Parts: sequence; structure tokens; C-alpha cells
Amino acid sequence: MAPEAIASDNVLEAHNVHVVVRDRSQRSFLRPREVEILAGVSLNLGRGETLGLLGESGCGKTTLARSLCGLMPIQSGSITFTSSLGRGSQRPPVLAVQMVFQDPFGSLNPRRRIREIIAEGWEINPRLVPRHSWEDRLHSLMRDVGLPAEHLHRFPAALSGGERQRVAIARALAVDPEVVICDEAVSALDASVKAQIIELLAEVQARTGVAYIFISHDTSSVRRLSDRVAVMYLGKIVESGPSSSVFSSPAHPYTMALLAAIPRLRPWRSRAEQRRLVAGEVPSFANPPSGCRYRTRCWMAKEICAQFEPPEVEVGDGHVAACHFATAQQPVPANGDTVAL
Amino acid sequence: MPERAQSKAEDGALLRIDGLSVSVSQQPGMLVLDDVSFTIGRGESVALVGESGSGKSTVALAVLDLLPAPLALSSGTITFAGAPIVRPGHAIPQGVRGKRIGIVFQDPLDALNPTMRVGEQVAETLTEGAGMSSRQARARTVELLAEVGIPQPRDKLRVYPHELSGGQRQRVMIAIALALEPDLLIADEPTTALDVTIQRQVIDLLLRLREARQMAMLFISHDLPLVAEVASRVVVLYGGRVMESGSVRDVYEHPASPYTTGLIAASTSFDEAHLVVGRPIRGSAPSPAEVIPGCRFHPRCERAEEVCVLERPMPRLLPASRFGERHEAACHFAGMPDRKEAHGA
Repeated sequence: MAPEAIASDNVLEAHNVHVVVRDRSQRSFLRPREVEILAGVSLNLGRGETLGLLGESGCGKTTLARSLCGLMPIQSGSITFTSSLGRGSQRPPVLAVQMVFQDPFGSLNPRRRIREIIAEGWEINPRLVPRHSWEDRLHSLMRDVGLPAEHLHRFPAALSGGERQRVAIARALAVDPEVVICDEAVSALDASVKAQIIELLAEVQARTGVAYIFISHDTSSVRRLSDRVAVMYLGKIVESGPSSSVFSSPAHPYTMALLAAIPRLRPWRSRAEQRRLVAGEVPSFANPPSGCRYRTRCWMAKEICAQFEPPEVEVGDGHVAACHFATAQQPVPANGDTVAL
Repeated sequence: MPERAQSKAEDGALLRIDGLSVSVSQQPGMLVLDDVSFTIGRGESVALVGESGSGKSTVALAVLDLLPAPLALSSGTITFAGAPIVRPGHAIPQGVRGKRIGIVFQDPLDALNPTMRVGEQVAETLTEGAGMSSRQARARTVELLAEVGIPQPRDKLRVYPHELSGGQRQRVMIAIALALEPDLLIADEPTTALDVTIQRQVIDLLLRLREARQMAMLFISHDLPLVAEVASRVVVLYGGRVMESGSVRDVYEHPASPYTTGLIAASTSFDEAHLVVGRPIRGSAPSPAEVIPGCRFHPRCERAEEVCVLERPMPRLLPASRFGERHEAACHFAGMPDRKEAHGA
């Protein structure tokens, strides 16, 4: 990605972010091993845009989300938030970047009523919304997320998973954020409820102009919502670009394999395509492969992949892939090529 | 084509579920499953689909006679290989559960014993279930772990479940389920907790093993695209009732009930290389406690008319010429052209 491209229009920019955590789970508790979870991640998020972040569990998506909203300290690199109110604005970034978490059962305090959950941000930041207009705001937020106002008096336990996720969205919107990070926000929901929540997110964005970072391992949800998409693997972004371009002509073998793994609704309609399996499982952060981090599971891996880290190659308009073999026109492997399991 | 007559049932069907109803005890009107019937042929792969709360998992638990209180079988029979195994008031005969019917649950971390080494858990199944000596069981365990694709199986005997990745834990579960060479494998959302690339590996493994062992499978899932790759027949459940059943291809290409049509439309998926965006079904699935007269789907149905409120639609066979063989739907308007749709489209 080119961070300098349209810098003024970006609400959030991350540049070469490294996050290191101490792993105390191993033998020596007193001398914990340092493990690098984010190994130089750069991205930018335009105003009102949706950036999809795609990757498997344990690739660092959530760590990235948490560091972007200040919940996790970064080792090096920079994360810049530019408020539309101007750089000198008094609003703390913590209010401008909100999160919606995966598990609507774990992310809402079971002992507080929905009204208290949504109004908590106002409680903590009294200047945000004057108390006399709380009631009006609560009702309009409930309307915005498609919940009946009666739910305000209820506890989370009385709500279904989809309804709780709507509450979580209302809570995020309550402080008028400029960015909402949705961390697997629809992954725990049923297909029809999932479709409803995705529709709600799109609707909210159209109305408020909020930008989303939409993190998911569910490719179809990412594709539905995202303008641009970044694919993560083992703490690095391996491919990024406009959603249409990445999904129609993926340039990194990992993205190709990820897309090939998705079940088709009517597989009998598509011509028999060659199925590329991703061999094995994700390597450990503690001991990442040399050179390209994906090479241990890649069917295209050659010697060079173990020796050098692949450079970012521009394969299309704003479409970048970090692969030694990425070219503007990715040759599709011949039919005989199979991948060993 | 086989007539659905009782007399011919035994030679074709491995598992026959007949009029299965499961109630919440002390609340006779509250049915979690309401008159569910379907069959699985030998070596056949049948999927049970529906939203959460539709009763999918309850079917699996009923087949294994594992219904947790307060759920209880109120009527119906389940026949396995010609012999009744589940009836009200009878316990499942020994040697069926776990032996002739294997099961893989959604979350292997819940299903595996966290304090027992992986090797012991597989071997225990073999010593207890097949009467093997511990030496034999150990050797067979290594073979089984290798068969389900666990690298260095000999070294993995001594690890605990938490030391394995989610995908590997599910492979161990599959090894346990297959240890006694069952005729039927019940897989209840086996890949829901897994990533898509690992899901692909586990599904390919299940399909390969099923093929090699000529094993029948009951695959329970809410994921329609996944079902399309795994099963040949599909049974759609809604609010504890069978809404529609037929071959996956017939049901997906020519859904006959508005619920199935909605469920297919709600699946956001890739199809023929482009994205099909999910269109949600309005409202949400009913809980068993909700009393809904007539068709249980009518409050959410766009085609609902008076008859849908008054009368419960029973499953009926659709004309094979348009809907394919053995395609049934429980809808008053099944197979009739939709007036609204004709306008809308």
C-alpha cells in the first residue's frame, strides 16, 4: 500500500507496526521469550471506507485491531489517527475508534441493562452527551440498529445473539466514532442473522459515513462489505488492494488457496476447478520461517523463498502482493500441479 | 424408484427416523422436535440443515439416546439396520452408540477429556469397545492417528488435548469416532470452529474416510455451501419440523418451500466465481416455547395466507418431473408458482 497516496483523506494510518509480546507459557517463566506478533504492518483507512482484514485464526488480526484502537502497546512503527475535526481536536482518539467484538455473549456485561451498556461512554465522558438528552439519544440509537425501545430495560440475557450484536453496534455508535473496528463481528451468527447484521453495518455506514475495519476469516462477509481488503498471514500483510481486484485475480498463493477453500453453494454449476489445498497448519510466531513466511505451506515455494523476504509487487492499480512470483498477470498453475498435504 | 412403503424399508435404509417428537418434560405442549421423519440409506450422506434452535442437534442426541434432561422423547421410533434402537421408555441397546454409530461434535475441546493424554483416549475406545489388549490398542491408535492425518502420530500419543491445534483436536475426535468402524457417522457442525483452510482439510478427510469405509453419514450444519460439498441428500429443519427434504441438488436448484428459498438466498457465498450476497429472512427463528398455529414459518413468510395460520402443512411428495425424485416439502404452496415472486422478479 502507498501510505503517501491520499494521506489527507485517511482517518487512520499505520506504518510499519511491530508488536511484541512476552510468552510466559514456555519453560522459563522468569525469562520469558519475546514473540513478535505483528512484523511490520502498514495500512491506511480512508474516511467512510471499509477495509476488510482477512486471515485465519492466529495470524495477528485481533492483535492488529487492538493496537489500532490503543488497547495494545506497539513496539515500533506508528499509528496515526486524523480526526475530521482537525489534528488539534480535543477528542481523545479512544472515542473516535470503537470496537465491536465477536462474541455478543461475552462482550456485554450481563449485570447491566442495555441502557446502561449503551450509555456507559457518556457516563465516562460527561461532556459528550448532556444527560437530559440521553433518553432521546438512546431511543434513536435503538431505532438505528433496529431494536425495539423496550429492550433498553432488559438485561443481555433476554436477547438473542443477533440482538446482542445490534446492542454492541449501538454502543460503538453512541460516542459518534469515526472508525469502528469489527473484530469477527458476524462470525458467531447464523447465516440469516449474519446477513441482517451485515446489512445493518452497510446501512449505518451509508448514513453516518463511519469507516470500518472489518476483520474476519469469513471471506464472503469480507467481500460483501469491503471496498479494499488486506490479507494477513503470520503477522504480515501478504496482499492488499481493491476488493474486486483481490477477489477476482488474487496474486498471492495464500490468497488463492484461501479463496479456493471456500465451499460453493452450487458446486455442480461451476466447472470442475482444480482444488488447491493449503498444506499443514500455520507455523508458530515464536519461530517463523525464514524468507517468506508462507513458504512452508506454499505449492509454489522455491529456494529463493527461504532466502529472501519477498518484496511488495504492485500487480494492479493499488493491488500489492508480497510474493517472489507475483506478477501483474499471475500465471495460473497448470492442471497437473497438485499440492502435497 | 423405491416406494416409501414400510415393507421395503429394511433393505434400503440404515437409519429410519419415524415420527420423532421430543418434548420438554412437564410442558407437554412444548416440542423441540415435532414429528420428524427421514431415512439414511447404507453409505448415504444426509445433511440436516437449519438455523440455531431448529432442533438439528437434538436429532443427533435423540439418535444416540443422549437427550439431556429436561428433554425427553415423547413419541416416535428410530430404527437402525432394521432393529428399533430408540423408543419411548426403552434405553438404546448396548453396542450401538459409539460402536455402530460414531459421533463427532462441534467443539473437540469440550468433547475430549482435558486431563487424559490423547493416545489413552483413543486407546480406551479400542480396549473398552473392541476388547483389544492395551498393546494392540496402542498400535491401532498410531494407525488411526496416521489415517486422520496427524503428523508424527507416535509422538502425539502422549500430548494432552490443549497442546493440539483446533484442527488436530478435531482429527483426534474423528479418529475416536472411527475407531470401532461404525456404519454411521454423525458429524454435528464438525468444522464450525475451524478456519476455512483447515475446514477444507477436515472435510476432505471425512469424505475420503467415508468413501473408503462405505460409511453412512448424518452431517449437521447451518452452512448450506458446505452441505453441498458433503451430502447427497438434505433435510431442512425449521422450528423442530421438517420443512423440506430431497437431493441437495434438487433442493438447492428448485426449493419448493419459501423457507428453504429464503435460507438459500440468505447464504452469502461464492458461486460460479462471483459473490452472491445474502438476503436475510425477516424476523428470527422461533423458540420451542412459542405457540405458533398452522405452519411454524408463517409469521416470517412472505407468501403466508389464511390457510397457513389455520392448518399445519404436512410433508408431501412433489412431482418428480419438476422437483426431482423423493423431493418433499411441508408447505401449502409447495410447487405452486409464486405470484408475488413473478411480479417482483
